Amino acid sequence: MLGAPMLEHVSPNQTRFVAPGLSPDARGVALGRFVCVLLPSIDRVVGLFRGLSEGVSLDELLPSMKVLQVRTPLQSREFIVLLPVTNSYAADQISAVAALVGGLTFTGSAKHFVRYRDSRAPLGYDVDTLHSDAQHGGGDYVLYAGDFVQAYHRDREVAFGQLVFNLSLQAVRSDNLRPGEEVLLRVVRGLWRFVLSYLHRNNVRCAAAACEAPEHKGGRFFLLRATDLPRRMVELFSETPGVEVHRFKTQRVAVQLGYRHPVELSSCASIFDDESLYLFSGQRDTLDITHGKPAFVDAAALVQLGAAPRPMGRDEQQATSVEEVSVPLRLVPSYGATPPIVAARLTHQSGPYLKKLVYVLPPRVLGGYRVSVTSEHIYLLNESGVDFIPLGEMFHAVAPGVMAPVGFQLIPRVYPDVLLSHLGGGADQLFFFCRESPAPVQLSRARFAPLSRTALAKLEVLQPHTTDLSADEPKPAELVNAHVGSFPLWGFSADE
Amino acid sequence: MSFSPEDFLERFVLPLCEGGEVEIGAPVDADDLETLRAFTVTTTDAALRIELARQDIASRIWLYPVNTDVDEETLRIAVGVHNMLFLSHPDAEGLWVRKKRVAEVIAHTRSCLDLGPPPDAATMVARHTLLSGLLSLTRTDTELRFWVGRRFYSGQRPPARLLAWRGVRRVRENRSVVRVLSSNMLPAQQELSALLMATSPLTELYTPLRDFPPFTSSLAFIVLHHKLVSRAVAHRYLELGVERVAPVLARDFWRHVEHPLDVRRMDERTRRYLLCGLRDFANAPLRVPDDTDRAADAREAARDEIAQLEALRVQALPLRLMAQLVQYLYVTGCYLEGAQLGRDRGEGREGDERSDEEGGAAAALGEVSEDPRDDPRSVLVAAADCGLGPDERALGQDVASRFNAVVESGRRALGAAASDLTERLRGLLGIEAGASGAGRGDEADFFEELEPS
Repeated sequence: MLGAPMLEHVSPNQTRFVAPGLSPDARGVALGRFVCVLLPSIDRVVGLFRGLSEGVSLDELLPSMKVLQVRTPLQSREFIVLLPVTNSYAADQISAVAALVGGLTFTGSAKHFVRYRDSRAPLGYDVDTLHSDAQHGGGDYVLYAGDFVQAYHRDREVAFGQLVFNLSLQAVRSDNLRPGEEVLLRVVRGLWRFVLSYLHRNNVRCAAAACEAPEHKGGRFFLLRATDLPRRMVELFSETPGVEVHRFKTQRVAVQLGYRHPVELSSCASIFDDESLYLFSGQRDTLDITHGKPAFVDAAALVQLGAAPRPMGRDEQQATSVEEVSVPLRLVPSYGATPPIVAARLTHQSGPYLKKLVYVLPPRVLGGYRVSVTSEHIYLLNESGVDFIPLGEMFHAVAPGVMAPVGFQLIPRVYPDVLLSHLGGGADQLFFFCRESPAPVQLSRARFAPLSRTALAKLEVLQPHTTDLSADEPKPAELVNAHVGSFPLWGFSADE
Repeated sequence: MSFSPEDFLERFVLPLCEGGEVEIGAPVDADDLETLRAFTVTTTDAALRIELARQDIASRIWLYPVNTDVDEETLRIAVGVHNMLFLSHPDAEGLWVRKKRVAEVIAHTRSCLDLGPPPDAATMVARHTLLSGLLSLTRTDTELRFWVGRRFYSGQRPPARLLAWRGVRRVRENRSVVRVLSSNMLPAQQELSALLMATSPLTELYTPLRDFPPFTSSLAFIVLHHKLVSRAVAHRYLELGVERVAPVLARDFWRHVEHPLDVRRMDERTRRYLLCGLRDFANAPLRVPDDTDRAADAREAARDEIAQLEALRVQALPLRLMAQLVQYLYVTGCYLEGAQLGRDRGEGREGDERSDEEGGAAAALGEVSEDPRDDPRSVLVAAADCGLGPDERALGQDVASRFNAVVESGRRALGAAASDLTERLRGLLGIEAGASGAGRGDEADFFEELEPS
């Protein structure tokens, strides 16, 4: 503790502050570039991020955020979390969460942080004097609270990514899958073929991939991606040693079913590498990170059902007859109710309009869109409907992964499985039938990038030079007596 | 050396407003003033920069348009300030400078500065923009010691020949920065600086914490009739801090109570000042007599002025305004710093035997000296007893209780001193003992904004 409380309440319309880096925001609240939360232990730090991730996107805070372990002059250790803020609304939210985990909230820009506003001082606090370094032995950060002033030395910085990766999962009471939800099964080496056969036999669409893990973590394991897994299978796999059911939190992150991560992982997607898959296991309390994206292969290509087929005899006459009855797929106009529109195809001329729409779309809608750009067209995909972007040619799904223009259908009307096997694509392939060409366009799902924050982060951000409009302090004036000679009053005339 | 109006504007007036080196040359006489007038008929670069610098100063305190042209009034004030500062020029004490000539310079300077009260608030701000830098003007004095003697240079740099061969001649140079306006000024300069403060009442009121000229606000307080000015002054005091400004105001209040304005002993210029001020700021229906040569008419006019001023109880007006300003500052303090004024129970200092309310009030007041004249709570107690205090309904229950706690703590701490001030104030305001409502006059009421419509 450096001295007695020195806080002053900020008054309305106050524009100058003693504490450096403070300035009034639009509401007149004294605010610096950062909000600093002082916490006594690391578990409170986790609690803070847990609370923040529920309501705030941590991705926006991460580039400038710092988690620091600091020590006082008496060598006790505490934690400081520096969070960038641009207005007092965001700071209020942080302050409310910090109060819940027993933290103190301060604001400032570089070194000096004063107490953030509370009910006693609705416009915040300022200090009457700054504590000089020489007087108090220095310190990287000085915090001014109502009842203490404390200097802290920076000990080390805790990387937020490492913090998230090292946290243990927490068990939740009920964690059921949604209808049609995609899950990942992490299967050990000896079981994967049986599990895959079991799924395929029960008509569950699935694909498998092999992943390498370090030897001390068990070596190679296998991932099975399944869609719409029946409840009985979920319960079966959850109780089977060697098999873990994971649900996707984002495209690259999966968490074991029945557990939750302390931090909402979807709000901090930027800490995860694009080219890896992250599996958080609650049962083993381990994080598996794959090197590169897993290459999934459809189960149909890996599973053999029944006895080995007999060698196929050559019968030219029968083959000729089959060729004669084969009919090409054709797009014909359809009538009746319009099925949900899940994809759209835009020309490059529509690109500027698409950009404008991206700006006005709410984040939840924007998060569902995926986009792929080819040399000729821009393809939009959204399983829950592309109705929000009324541009280009609309497509509906006639089979999983097979798109036809709205108002058209494919004939002959074969089963979707037959259609897919005829097209020769897996679950990660998309086929677009267009009116101008009888041949469908084949695109990989992997080529579709999210039209959300991840895509926007690649944009170049301009940082123009800003002009400080605050009034300059007047320069001091100094009197200088010029030499006027020995007769300064010569010829002085007082009469007007 | 011939007078150069361009140099005068660039080297003296511009740095006075903008900061930098303010150069003092030979005094500016009537002919030079005429040259200046002719020069500033057309807009020059220096005049434009002066105007911008003054607008910059005005924008810090005033939201409304202010005329900062280099006009007749600006020139007269600038010449007055320049000549006043010249009186302490080293060359003004030369062997060939006659006292008679110096007296002429002083008389000419006085006539330049005798502009009377500003006719409106904008002019008041405009004058302040010209003088705001004067109070913080500094000067570097150099004492030069060398092997055979020493020299003293006031606001001048020693010649290079005396600084040469420092080691051989054992040259030692002691520099000290002093404030130009200080009690070390010549008596004539002190008189002229007081006249400057009277010419610019906003400068007088805006710098209550200055060392020199001493803060004697009784006449300047008349301008607080103007609501916008009073608001700007109150905001300035809040910015400086209630605990720093209020004791200064309290000391001035006591001084004014103990030595009230006596219109019969005022000189004619002060009376005219008050009359003009009251007429312009309070819209009082006063007749300011025209200048006349006839002695009988002059005596008649003076009697007329005195009668009018006595009828208005002029000595009471500054007292009312000062008391209300002190109360306003404390009420605003209760609004803005309620947490400290109404400190929660159990948070008092250790070993403090006073009650919580008293402890909270004392905490807001800071360290109060022994002299009750320095304790602003005496003003609060006296004003409350004379019915000048704010209405509780206007303040709201919470703030009113905090404010009353401060008043009560002052009543207990000061005791006889506070009641003595109350009696004196009652006598000056013409309130009978026991009556508690002095009634509100025509003067600006600081609490008007607080009262419910």
